[in-house]
Amino acid sequence: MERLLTVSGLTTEFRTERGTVKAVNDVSYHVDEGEIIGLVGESGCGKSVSQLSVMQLIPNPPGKIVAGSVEFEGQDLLRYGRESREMCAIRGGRISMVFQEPMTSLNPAMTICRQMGEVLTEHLGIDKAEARERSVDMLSQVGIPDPGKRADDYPHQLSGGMRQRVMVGMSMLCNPKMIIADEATTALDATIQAQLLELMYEMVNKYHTALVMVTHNLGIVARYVHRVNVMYAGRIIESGTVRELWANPMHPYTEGLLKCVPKLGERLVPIKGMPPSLINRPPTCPFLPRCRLRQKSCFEEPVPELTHVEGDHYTTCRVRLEGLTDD
Amino acid sequence: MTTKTDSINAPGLGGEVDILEEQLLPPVNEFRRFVKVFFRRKIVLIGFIIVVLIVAMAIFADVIAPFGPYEQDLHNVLAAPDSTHLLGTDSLGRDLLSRIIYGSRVALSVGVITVLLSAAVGTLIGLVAGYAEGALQSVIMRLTDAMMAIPSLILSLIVASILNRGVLGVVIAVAITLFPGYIRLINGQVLSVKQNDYVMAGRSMGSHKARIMFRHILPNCLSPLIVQMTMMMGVAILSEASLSFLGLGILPPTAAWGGMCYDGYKYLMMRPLLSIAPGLAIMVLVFSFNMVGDGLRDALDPKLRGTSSN
Repeated sequence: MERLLTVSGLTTEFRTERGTVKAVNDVSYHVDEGEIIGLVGESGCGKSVSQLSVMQLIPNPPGKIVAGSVEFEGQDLLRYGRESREMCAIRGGRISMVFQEPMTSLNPAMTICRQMGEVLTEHLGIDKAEARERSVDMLSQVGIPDPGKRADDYPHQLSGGMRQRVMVGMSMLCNPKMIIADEATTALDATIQAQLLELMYEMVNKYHTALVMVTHNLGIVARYVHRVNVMYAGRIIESGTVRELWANPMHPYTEGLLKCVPKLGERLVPIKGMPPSLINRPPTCPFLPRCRLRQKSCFEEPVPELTHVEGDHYTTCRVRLEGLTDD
Repeated sequence: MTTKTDSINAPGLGGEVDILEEQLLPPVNEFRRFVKVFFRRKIVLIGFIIVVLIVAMAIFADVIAPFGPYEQDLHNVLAAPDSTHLLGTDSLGRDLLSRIIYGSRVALSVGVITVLLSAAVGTLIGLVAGYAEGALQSVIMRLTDAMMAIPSLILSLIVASILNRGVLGVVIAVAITLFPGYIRLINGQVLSVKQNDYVMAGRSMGSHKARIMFRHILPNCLSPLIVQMTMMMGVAILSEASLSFLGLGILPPTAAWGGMCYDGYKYLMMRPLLSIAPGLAIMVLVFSFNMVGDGLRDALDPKLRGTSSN
């Protein structure tokens, strides 16, 4: 498979009154063409910020990408200005996003058709009639009943699930190479969530589009993704295929996350403690305060780079890497 | 959404029933809801009818007015009201009623043009300020504050005395006092609308600055803008009348209510109606516009939606 996106050393900071928050800290990952990857972690771990950084959608001020590179189809996206023509052409045209809140992600003052049409005219420069035709066709592809009529509805006339279908359709309009689904199904109830996941899965397979699924629910991604990146406190702390991570989680945080996936008849095991503050973090392992495997050396040494374990499996847990414990 | 969860959490059976009723309600037609809320208060309805009547009066002045605005009846100078001249005549023998009817044209056109001009300029600047934030916003907003600190009548007097007298001069003189209000209003609106997810979603779809500003942000700032424009109609008409009264507004002999007040004021003891009638006309029109603005605010403000305050 061809390499589509390579993110290396991406670091995004937010200036706040209390200090500089490193929301994304030296994050590196890659996405191949047509690949589905998961980006998992709890709230505030930098999943969304890392994705918004790739799209250069970080509100500035207070946010700023301070280091790293984002190479997409051979071009370094961070070289382009945030509002540059190149970046605008990539957003929505080559990479598009689906956001968490379907209720508020559509402009209440525009009909569905016009919003979709704008994306088409913007990127493909086609006329309004054709844009309408394509929008209606896309609406029917994402399973909107009676799309010809629905196209003239305003967002408030659709349910949450329908709106998210519209968002998925809108993200596919220009046939992008990659879609970032930022908690795209989190706000929906479980049955609709399943339908939408199926829908996205079908759509990206049909058009051979890469998909980055950002979620805090490992259970959701397990079925669809090829590889998973686990984020904690702004860093990717473990990465691997679903099989590798499930069979052999190396990092105690990944272990904890797996135990947090609800299964019938099994007790949930919470991860004790809270994620650390991201202001003025020491270079030691961010999971240290909550870690049950920690060794004395963990308090002294900086956190290791993502280190190869086997196959596609990488981890940053020094205890496991150096075999300091047989636990 | 919040009301739903609230009612689920509410103790007792009442909450559950609420949910069912809410689900059974037919979808609300926005326009019908708007009309219903707008006309709920009688005073708003009256204001609206008066505005419509005065607009009709201005349009059909030629038909309605018994005499022309400049038509002199030199045998009946300063005549008392009678069956020919219903409100009497002024010092040049012109029919007062006809001049008031024709005067509505000046009042309305100056009002409308002023409001449109100031709203267009103010909205544009406010939009840019709110979208840009940072230094540009600070500079624009501080200048706006400075503008608003100048007493408006004095400012329009100065501007009117510099410019040519006539409709355009008056419009600019009044608009210059009104547009800072729009900057402030729209700036605030943009700051809040900008936070919405659909703005980020629009950006993620590749829309550039101008499209985000004019297609995603501006249409969602329109409600308060419309209310402000209606309210400012009253202010604009009043300012025009003040300028005309002070002799810096619409040139005589054009029938303008403010100027008529001034002309009549010399004969206040003898023919008080000459001043009072155009004064009343100004008052009624301004009052009506304010009432319509009030009703619009009630009907358009999402915070008041669903409440049944009177």
